Amino acid sequence: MATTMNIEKRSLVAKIIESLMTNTNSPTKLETIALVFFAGRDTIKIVQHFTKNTDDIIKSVQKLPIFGDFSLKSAIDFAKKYLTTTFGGQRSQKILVFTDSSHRDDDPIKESTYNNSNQMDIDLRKVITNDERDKTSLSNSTTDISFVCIRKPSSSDRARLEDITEQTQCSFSKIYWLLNRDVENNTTITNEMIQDVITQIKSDIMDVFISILKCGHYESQLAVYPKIKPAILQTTGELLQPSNTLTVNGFIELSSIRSAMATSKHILLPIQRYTRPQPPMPMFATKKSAISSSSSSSTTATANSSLTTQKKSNAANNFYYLLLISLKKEKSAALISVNDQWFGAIHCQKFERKKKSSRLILSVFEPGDCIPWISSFERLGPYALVFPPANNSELVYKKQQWPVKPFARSYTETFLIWCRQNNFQNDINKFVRASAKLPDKVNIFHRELNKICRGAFIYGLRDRLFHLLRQLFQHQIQTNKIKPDGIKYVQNVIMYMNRLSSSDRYIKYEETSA
Amino acid sequence: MDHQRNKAVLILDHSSFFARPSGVTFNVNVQNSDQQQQQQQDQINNENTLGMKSLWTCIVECVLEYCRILFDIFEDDALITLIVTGIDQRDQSSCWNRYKNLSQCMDFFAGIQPPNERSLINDDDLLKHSLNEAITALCTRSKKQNIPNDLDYTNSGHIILFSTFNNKRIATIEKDAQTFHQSHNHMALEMTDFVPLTKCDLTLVDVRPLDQPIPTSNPEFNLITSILHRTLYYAQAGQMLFTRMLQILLKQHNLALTTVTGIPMKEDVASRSSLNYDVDIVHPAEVHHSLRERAPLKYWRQIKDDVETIVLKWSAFSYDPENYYDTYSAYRFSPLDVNSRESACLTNFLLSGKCVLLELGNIPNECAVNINEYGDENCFNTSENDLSSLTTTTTATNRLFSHMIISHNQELMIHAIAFGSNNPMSKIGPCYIVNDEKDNMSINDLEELMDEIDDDNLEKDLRVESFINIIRTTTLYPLETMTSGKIPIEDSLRLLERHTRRCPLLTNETILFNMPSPINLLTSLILREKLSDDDVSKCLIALKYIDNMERNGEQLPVPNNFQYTTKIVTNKAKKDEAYRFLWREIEYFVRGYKETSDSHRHIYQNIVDRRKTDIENDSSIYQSNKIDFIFPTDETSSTSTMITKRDKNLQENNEKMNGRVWTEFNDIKQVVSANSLRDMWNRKQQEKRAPEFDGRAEYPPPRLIPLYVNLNSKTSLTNPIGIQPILTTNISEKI
Repeated sequence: MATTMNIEKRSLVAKIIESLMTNTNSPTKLETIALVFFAGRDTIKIVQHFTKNTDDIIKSVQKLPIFGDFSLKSAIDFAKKYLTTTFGGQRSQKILVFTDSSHRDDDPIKESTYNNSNQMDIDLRKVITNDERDKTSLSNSTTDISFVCIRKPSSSDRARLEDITEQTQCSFSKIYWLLNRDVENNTTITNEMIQDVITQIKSDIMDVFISILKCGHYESQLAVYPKIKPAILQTTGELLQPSNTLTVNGFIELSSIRSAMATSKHILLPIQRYTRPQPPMPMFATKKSAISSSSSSSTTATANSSLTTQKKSNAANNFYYLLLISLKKEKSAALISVNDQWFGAIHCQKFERKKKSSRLILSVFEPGDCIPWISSFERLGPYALVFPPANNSELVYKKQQWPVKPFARSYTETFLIWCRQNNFQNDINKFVRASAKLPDKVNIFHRELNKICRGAFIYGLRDRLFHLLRQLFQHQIQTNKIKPDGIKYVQNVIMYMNRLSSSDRYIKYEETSA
Repeated sequence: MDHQRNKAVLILDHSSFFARPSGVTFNVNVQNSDQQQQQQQDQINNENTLGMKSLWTCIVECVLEYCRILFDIFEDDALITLIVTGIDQRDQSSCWNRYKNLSQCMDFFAGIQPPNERSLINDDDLLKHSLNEAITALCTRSKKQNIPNDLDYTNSGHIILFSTFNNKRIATIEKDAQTFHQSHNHMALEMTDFVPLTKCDLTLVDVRPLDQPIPTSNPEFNLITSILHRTLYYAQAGQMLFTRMLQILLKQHNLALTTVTGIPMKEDVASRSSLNYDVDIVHPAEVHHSLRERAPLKYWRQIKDDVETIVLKWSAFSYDPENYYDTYSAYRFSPLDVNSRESACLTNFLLSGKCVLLELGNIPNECAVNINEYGDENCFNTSENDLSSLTTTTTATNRLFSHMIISHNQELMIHAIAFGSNNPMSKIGPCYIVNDEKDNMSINDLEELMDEIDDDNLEKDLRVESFINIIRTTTLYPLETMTSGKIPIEDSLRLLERHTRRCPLLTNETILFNMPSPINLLTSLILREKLSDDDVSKCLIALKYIDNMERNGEQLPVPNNFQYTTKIVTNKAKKDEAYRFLWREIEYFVRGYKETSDSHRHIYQNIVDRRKTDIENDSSIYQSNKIDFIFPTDETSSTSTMITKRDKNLQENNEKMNGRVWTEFNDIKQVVSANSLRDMWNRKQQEKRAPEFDGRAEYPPPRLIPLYVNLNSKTSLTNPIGIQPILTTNISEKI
């Protein structure tokens, strides 16, 4: 009995997936899909690795065998890990679970499954990830799970699914169902029902965002994929919606922006209009065009470069390509505003499959000024005004260093850190070596001297250290390590150390004080 | 990064106990490569070059190291106060501003005498006083807390007390701390200067000389109250004290260690071989979160000197900072042993601008989702196809880059990379296709559309050079000083607007922008906001130059695919058309900027006066700059939602939902030309004016209309030409 039911459900699910796949042959070609099959706690199998070929998926679905019990939780865990290893875990992903959510009404363990939530009798699941993943700052989890059920789940089933989702640390997104059990009781599932569900799923999952890229008077229309999700401005707690116009504010060299961290990455694709080849123009059209061209020189007719042939006839893409090539050549990124106080950067990335082709990639930053090395986006000024050319001459661009925040960092400045014998030894060595070069490089000698003496005060070493150093120098003089002309400098220093050991505070050694 | 950082107060016991020798030695012996000298010095070594550090010295070393790491990682946000018992620091109010960097901490210690060897009677009282001071400091507002708000209830802090302890002493300290804490929290309720302390860790470090054994190496915990926790560490001076300090530091400030392993470094210039080194770095613990998502950290964990570290491999994959890696977080880091040769080598490499990817050394099976195990089950009749994809996936997982180290304006940072083994960004189709038709297109059609567009081919058609100039002009740099009321990035928007206003996208649509010197001066000078007299004359010369060229019948630099409209294919007709087009372009170009200033207007007038071209409407003469936006109408991608989404967004645009776009400066001209009082006055006058008479409207500004047009032709003989200007009236002046 159970087996026959499963066969039915299996073929039903296969049908849904097939239908989903068929229509997913959408013009975007953006998605790759993997199919993960599981049956039983220990039997989880990747039926189909991530692929773009929808036929493969359909084939795999049709071949699926039937199995009995399994654990939904471990399956979701597995799918999540599979996604993480394949695409990295920091961008959001989508898992679509095909399941018969409901237990038969006569199921005696219904109550207990509510808590354990692992025993279910459906045997198939499928993973759809869109290549591009986006992370929403609204939820902590990066993996969205949607369930596709055959019947509308009862409230306890629904709670159970939500519970599983929570356990696997994913965020619950939506449940789709074919049959609404509350309304109708018959079990006939029509093609229309499947179609309806498919349309819904698609509109939710394959959401491409059509946007306008604007740079002064240049504009281009493009598909932003995946959709930019709303984000919260941390300083005010305000929820910001992405504007549908991405405005170029200026440019930043890639070597200056330095892989700024992004909350989400999006691919920007030019939009191509596809029209079926038209039959040849009727005669009157030619006549008309002849008239218009003779009237004035205003009509440049249909532009016809290699860019603007029928295949690529969308003038709206010119700016996209211009930006792409320029950013690539100039190794620069465009700073764009997604909304007020919300910025992102567009850079050009090579397309791996074919070496000569590239794409624009948008990195959306966290709203506000959240990049430590760009203190404020609004305080960035254009080169022409920050470094204006002298006496009205032409602007010549030369890469400039970004200002360094004045802060004494231990790795950029030399600090006396003596907690390791090595560090201390190095400082002493430098000092003694400088003494051997006297009378040359007196400045270096005095600099090292001041360093050591300050260190002696900081670390409370003065008596012992000065004593040892005095002895050391006397020894150096005796063994002729110090040049005769240098002896007087060293003797001055010995006297200085004598004075210093009885002093309360550190006094810098000056040439004149000798 | 924005949240309130924990405050830390370090108390150093200055009693006579710490004047005792620690057993840790230092050596002023000069190391020399010369063997003979080495031997000589070895003889005198012990007596003359060896010194003993006091316990005090060891503690100061350790405290400064603590400060150094905190300042490197948190910079101004590091909240540190140093207290030495018996040293009076009157100025309590500014305790969180006093130590802003390591140098200031050092200055503080430089001003303190080493502890006296004679013991004072009131050492315990002094300690008690310092404890009170410490709690007062923790309750004092830091810079970020200067305004009372909700954050007041997250005020937490650490007190680290370096001293020597026995049970009785610990009990006294605990009791004192509790009393002070309670009284201060009471005070905080009444005084706005104070914030209540909601969590406080009291860490006691019992420091002993090397020759005294410690009872246990594990810390002892005690909860005094729910808010006040006490931890006791025992440490011998030297390395052990340093390790304890590191443990305390990591725990208190949620930091972690990473060992960068396998750093190639040349031994010296002469040797060709390089040896591999390890460098330990300290950074916030969040850096390791990405690893935890893949697999438990145990795969990369090592214990070094009682401290846990994660080992990541230096990768020579690419040092190019011009790559844009997909990173999602960045934190400052600091080398653990900053002055060592290996650390210095690493930091100098990074400070020179390079960036280094860090790789996961050995990827455990668990991390790589045991694809073999799961996918290779024969009972499922795995197809050939499956197997082939299987092998590629497993080889691809062999290298995983998890982090990147880089310097940003001389700050060392570690980024976490959102890399999987697969980089999906590179596997996406070249464009998004929209079709108007109901039926699905065939796979063949689609394939054809999906053809890659070659970057090199694109480059030929587009005016890349000119756009690169625009990029350079508007490349952004941080401004140190800001003129009030002006937002620098808006200057950039203005510049972009001005530079793209009349600039063609395609090479084959322009002649003007291909013109050689001196005509090209025109296109660059006009873009300026102010023109000097010299600039104006240069522009006028350029115009005159074109006039001459036309008169002499010189060839123009017409682009290859230029679209002639003339049907006559003779060279003469083409040349005529090219000149006609050039003048149209010039007129169109300069017209776009004529409102900028009087000089611009003057140049424009000069062009109009040449009467080379009709004045047209303002729509672009460059076809490709005009855009027809496409809306997806295919059935598969849920048309209705898409369009309504867009419509909605368009509305939102007007409601300032948008980012800063040009629509906000409603009238571009207003912004651009608002540079003189006279312009403003003129505009105002124009607004007041009645609609133009049709007859006048036919003429270009300043609308000089000749009167008695036919008069001349009839009486040309009797009327000298000189009179004519008198007859022309400038009507606009009279209105």
